Amino acid sequence: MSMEDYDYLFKIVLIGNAGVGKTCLVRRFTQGLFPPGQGATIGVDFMIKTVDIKGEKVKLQIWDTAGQERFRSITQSYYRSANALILTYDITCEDSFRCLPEWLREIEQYANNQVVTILVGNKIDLAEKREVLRQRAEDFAEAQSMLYLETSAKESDNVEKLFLDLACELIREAKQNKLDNNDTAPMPGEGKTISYLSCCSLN
Amino acid sequence: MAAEDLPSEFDIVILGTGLAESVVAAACSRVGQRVLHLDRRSHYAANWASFTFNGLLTWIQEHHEESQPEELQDWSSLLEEGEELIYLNPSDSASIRNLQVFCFTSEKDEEEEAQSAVPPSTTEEEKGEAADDTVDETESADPKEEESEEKPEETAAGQEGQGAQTAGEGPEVDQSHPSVAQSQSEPTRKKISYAQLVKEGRRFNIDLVSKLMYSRGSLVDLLIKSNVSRYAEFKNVTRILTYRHGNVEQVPCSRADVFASRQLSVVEKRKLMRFLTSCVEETEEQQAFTGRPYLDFLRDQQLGDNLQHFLLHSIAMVTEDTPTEVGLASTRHFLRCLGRYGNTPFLFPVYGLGEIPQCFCRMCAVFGGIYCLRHSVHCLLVDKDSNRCKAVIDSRGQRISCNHFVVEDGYVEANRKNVATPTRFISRAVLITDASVLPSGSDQHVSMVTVPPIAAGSPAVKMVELCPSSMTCMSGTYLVHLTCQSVGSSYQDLSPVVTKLFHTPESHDQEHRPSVLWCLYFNMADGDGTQVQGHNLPSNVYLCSGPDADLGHDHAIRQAELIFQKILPEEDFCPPAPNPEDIIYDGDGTSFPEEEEKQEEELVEEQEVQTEE
Amino acid sequence: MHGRVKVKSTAQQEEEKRKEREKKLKIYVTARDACFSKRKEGIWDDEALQLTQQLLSSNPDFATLWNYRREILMHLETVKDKDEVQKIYEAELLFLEACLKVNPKSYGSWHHRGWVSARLPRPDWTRELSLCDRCLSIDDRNFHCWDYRRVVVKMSGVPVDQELEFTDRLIGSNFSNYSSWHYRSTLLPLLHPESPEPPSPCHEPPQTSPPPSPQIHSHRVCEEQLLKEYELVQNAFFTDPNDQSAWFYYRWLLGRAEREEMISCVYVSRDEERVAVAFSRPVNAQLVGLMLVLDGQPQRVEWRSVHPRFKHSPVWICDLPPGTISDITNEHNLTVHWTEKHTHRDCALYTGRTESWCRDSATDQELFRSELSVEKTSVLQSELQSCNQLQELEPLNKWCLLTIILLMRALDPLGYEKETLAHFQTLKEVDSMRAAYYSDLCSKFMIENTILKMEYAEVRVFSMSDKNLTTLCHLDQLLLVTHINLSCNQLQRLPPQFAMLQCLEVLEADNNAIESLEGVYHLPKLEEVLLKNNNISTLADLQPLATCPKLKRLDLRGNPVTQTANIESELAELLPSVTDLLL
Repeated sequence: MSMEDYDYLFKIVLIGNAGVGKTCLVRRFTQGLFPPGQGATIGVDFMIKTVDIKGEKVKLQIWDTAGQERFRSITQSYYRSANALILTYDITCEDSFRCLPEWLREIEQYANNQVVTILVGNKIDLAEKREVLRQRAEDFAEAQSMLYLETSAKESDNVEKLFLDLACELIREAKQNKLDNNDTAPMPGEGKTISYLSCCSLN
Repeated sequence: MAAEDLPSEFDIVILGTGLAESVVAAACSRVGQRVLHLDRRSHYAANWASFTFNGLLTWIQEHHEESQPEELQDWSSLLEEGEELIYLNPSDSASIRNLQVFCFTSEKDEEEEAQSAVPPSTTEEEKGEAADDTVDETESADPKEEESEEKPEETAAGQEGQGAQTAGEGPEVDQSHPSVAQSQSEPTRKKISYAQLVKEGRRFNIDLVSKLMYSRGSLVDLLIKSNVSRYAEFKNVTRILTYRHGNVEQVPCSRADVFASRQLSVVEKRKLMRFLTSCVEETEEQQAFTGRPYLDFLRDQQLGDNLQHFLLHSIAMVTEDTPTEVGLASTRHFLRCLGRYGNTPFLFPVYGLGEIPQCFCRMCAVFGGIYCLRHSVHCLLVDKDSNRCKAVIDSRGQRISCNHFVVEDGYVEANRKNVATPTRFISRAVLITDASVLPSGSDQHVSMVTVPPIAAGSPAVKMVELCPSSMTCMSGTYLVHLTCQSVGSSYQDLSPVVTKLFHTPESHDQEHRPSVLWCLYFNMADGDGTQVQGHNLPSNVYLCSGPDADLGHDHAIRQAELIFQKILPEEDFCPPAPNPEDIIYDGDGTSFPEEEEKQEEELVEEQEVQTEE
Repeated sequence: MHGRVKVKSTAQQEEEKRKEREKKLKIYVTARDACFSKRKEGIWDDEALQLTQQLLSSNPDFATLWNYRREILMHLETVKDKDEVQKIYEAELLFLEACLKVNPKSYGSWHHRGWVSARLPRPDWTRELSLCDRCLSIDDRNFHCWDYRRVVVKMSGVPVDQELEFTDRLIGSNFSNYSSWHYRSTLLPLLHPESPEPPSPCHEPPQTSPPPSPQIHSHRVCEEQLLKEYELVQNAFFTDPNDQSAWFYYRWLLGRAEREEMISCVYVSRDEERVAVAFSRPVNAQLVGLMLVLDGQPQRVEWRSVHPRFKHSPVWICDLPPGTISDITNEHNLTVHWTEKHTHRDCALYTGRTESWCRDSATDQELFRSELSVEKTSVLQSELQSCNQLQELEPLNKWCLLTIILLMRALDPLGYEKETLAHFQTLKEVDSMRAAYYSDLCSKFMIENTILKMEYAEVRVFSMSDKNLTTLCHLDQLLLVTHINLSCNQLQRLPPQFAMLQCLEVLEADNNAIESLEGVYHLPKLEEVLLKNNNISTLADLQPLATCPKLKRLDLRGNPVTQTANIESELAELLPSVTDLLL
């Protein structure tokens, strides 16, 4: 008889070019760390952080690309059951911004229809090296009906806000869906999580 | 997405992202090997891939185009002392052949026209209109070939060419009559147009191979053991069906099925249940039939025709001359798998089978494996003395050293392999239909259908029908996969079954059957014959075969495990990946206040106890 | 090392968990204490609601807290308007869902849910039903959920036919479920009642709330539906003949209607000036308004059961005032009225006769078509065929054998006697744990057969020697028997019911294992008792015989009691009427 220690579980997936600071955003948020120059941690599938949103415990499972974006070889399955996508580029790197339409095509192809997408311009601590103007990114995000936020993983600017805003949005959507379709409401003896094979095993 | 250079030193280089290669990649990376995993295609999973509808059309087109054999570049300048070159096959044209595409639905978006004109009620006029439309449809059924975009009627170069010709004519012979009749009998059923299929193309995930996961098979065991299961979701196959006496019937296999079955008498129910419970144990009675056909054993059990059919074709899924011990083993496997996750022994991955190799690739990447699609290996550098592959040269001419090289057998020239000759093939058909072969209360069934040979010498066909909630087809359609061991071309083998089970312009009096909107036939090389180590290759080069004709995945998993054991005989095969919550992170050796960090977090988290009172 | 992840050790993980548990426990205890003190102070505020919610969500079986919570909610009802109350209770339902997730079998949560549902200003029964359905789809034997569901169905007036479909679904997914079958057995008589006269009940509009309680209903189902049910349940027991639930349901289907309550026999004896009345079921004659009218004159008599042990009994006796019928030249007419049931039975005592009776015979009433119903023979016949078919496939299945026995008894108890005995023999072998039960059941059936044979022969002699009897039953049917032969069986006692044999003159029970004679009690005509080779060991065991005034002959040879010192003189004192004593 154990109860899951959260009210909601969301899978958040990070995408964007290599080197834009995806892993740093995750580590800053989940561990309060900024490890400069550190690549993806070996063996870490996703990071977890449970946050409190208006009294409800929300467990965020934050998935990183595992380096597969380096040679543009992200697996489709990576996108499949994501509740939210954080599309990241580096404001000091025009190229990472130019690649966004390509990423959007991938999202369109493989991600779930209801996925919440947020565009993040990272590295605002390097303002002097900025190559992509804020206005340009905002316009782009608006045209693609995405949320937009600029962050600095290094200075911890807006990182908390990024994830908390996402969590709020996801809760809002989840409640909306619950109203629309009562069947998805949790029921006795049944977890809310994606049931992994090993969980539904009968023996 | 800049074109970075690859590192030049790895423990293992793997070429091809099929299931066996991907499992090897994950297994090696998991235990700390540096893995480079490449595929020259732009998609994962090789012949195990799933495509969106549009992706499949592109794939078809690619396979139609005469693949221009690349000029073999001379890399001998990169040779070092005592090395020689082995060139890999520059194109993979051999594994897929006899592609044929038919479209039996209207080109244009019928719905739009109808919507602008009349509200969706059934008026006489509309019926007439619908009928007219369908005539148009059939007329436009095959002219698809005019579209340069996909050239459906052209077959790949191959000896089966004439089969394709006759096939192409098939639909034209008697066009309108069946369609008209059909639209009259079901005036409200609006056919989904080709344009809609394309528009909703991304709703499809069409597998090149059609397999199911036995719930106690080696793939499921491996997914659970390795924690790779966390990357995918699965659906139960909900029904086992069979084609018999011109009808599709449900095969009762679980206790609940037997109870509910309407086609079995109570005595048959008892006999079936008794057989299923008793055959789990070995008996002397069974041993007496060793070497004799399973069919004889079943006959001896006096089960009657109904049960015999179910047990032979749908549960054991063997042929009439399969020996008893094999039939029984297969029956037991079926029964062992039953009820673990649902009412049938099978699972199917949501979004299609192509997800599975990708999940293993993700595992490999999480443990540091490097991935690069659209990137190939041109040749191997072999040390003459030791006959070992020391390095590979990639498609950019970079020399990448490695200790082991694992490769999909399609990349290796035929004369270097030790394979069964002539190469065996699997016949495949993919249909998009507008209804289930056995409509029932729920429209969300995933069904496994066994079709015994419909004539002497015909192959037994396995058919899987997927519903939209499996995320493999758009709503309002079903995706049907047919598979059999090739006797002739895929069209020759499978179109008679399609004609019997579905409504196509070729079928007669089949109006009540589901209509085929679009279909694809092709043959794929049967991976069953490949051996892990080819005779004429260095000892540290390992071949992975493509998909085999079996329903399960055992062949590829067994192969992957074998390769892994040869490469790393001391290591554990795919130990569980740690739960992310249990991982200790330490940045740069600097001690950081993890403990306090945690504490704070926990305070935010709240008060709950499972004890007390 | 490359590619190796550092993972917390088991000890680390356990330590972490332990710390966490400790911390949670502290918080829990604090919250609990806060709750208790608030309740003591009679505070019913939002904070209390919060605290109880927090505690109950981790421990939903804390009944005191649920009570407190109800107090708070009832208080809130008095201070909030209807919409607010609705909202509060809706939130309560959501909270309860979370609790049920923790423990789907928590008494507290289910009970509270029922309470909330009943108080909700605008209840949403559909939602409650779907909650039950989802819950039962996870565990179809969760009786808490079954109970709650019954409440919901009753309150929301779900049509009976929908409920029947619901059981169809459940049985379809798993037929090994008593709850589903039982629920079905309560629904069918409502939906398809047995037609009393007009034969169109199957299309009767389904009755809605409140459904008539099953107790007052006939329990029976119209034949058309019965046939469908037979088919359904056969599918179940052919699929799995070892599943008891289906067999029990089958037994219920085959079950007969309750026997009508009536006076089945009136017996009058001139010598004893005594009347005995037998009823179709045990009654308490002192309470049911029984009236004796003799020659048109109501009599003041005192009814007593045949043995002081029985408050309820199928046989009652009374003594007439002395001299009322003693003159053998007079003819008398007796009527026994059962005023409560508006029924009566007459009995005429003619001139020159010392006794008289009036009764329904067991054969008339088809009394021993055992517990099986009086459906058409053809239906039972075909049921028997199916079961025989199954028995051929599963020769050792006890449920099947037992059902066959019951069907045979329903069809022709005497005709199938041989097969019945053979099946009982098999049953005792395959289910040796219940051998004693089968022996008793077999005894019962053999007694029934003997009663039938006796009636066909129109005699008052009941002879059942050497039949492996282990128990006696149906003794009320033996009210008129004068001679009984029970020799050479395995009886251990003559139970109090034996006192119903009010006409008994000769009792033969040699070669049994009888230890107790409790039922040989106040038998006015008993003259001869033969108990050779039994197990009577003390004089006290013979005490009941002293109540039989006419006892003359007693055979006690081969009983331990004969070894008692001074046995002859003791017996002479105890049983002065006995003149012929064999020791």
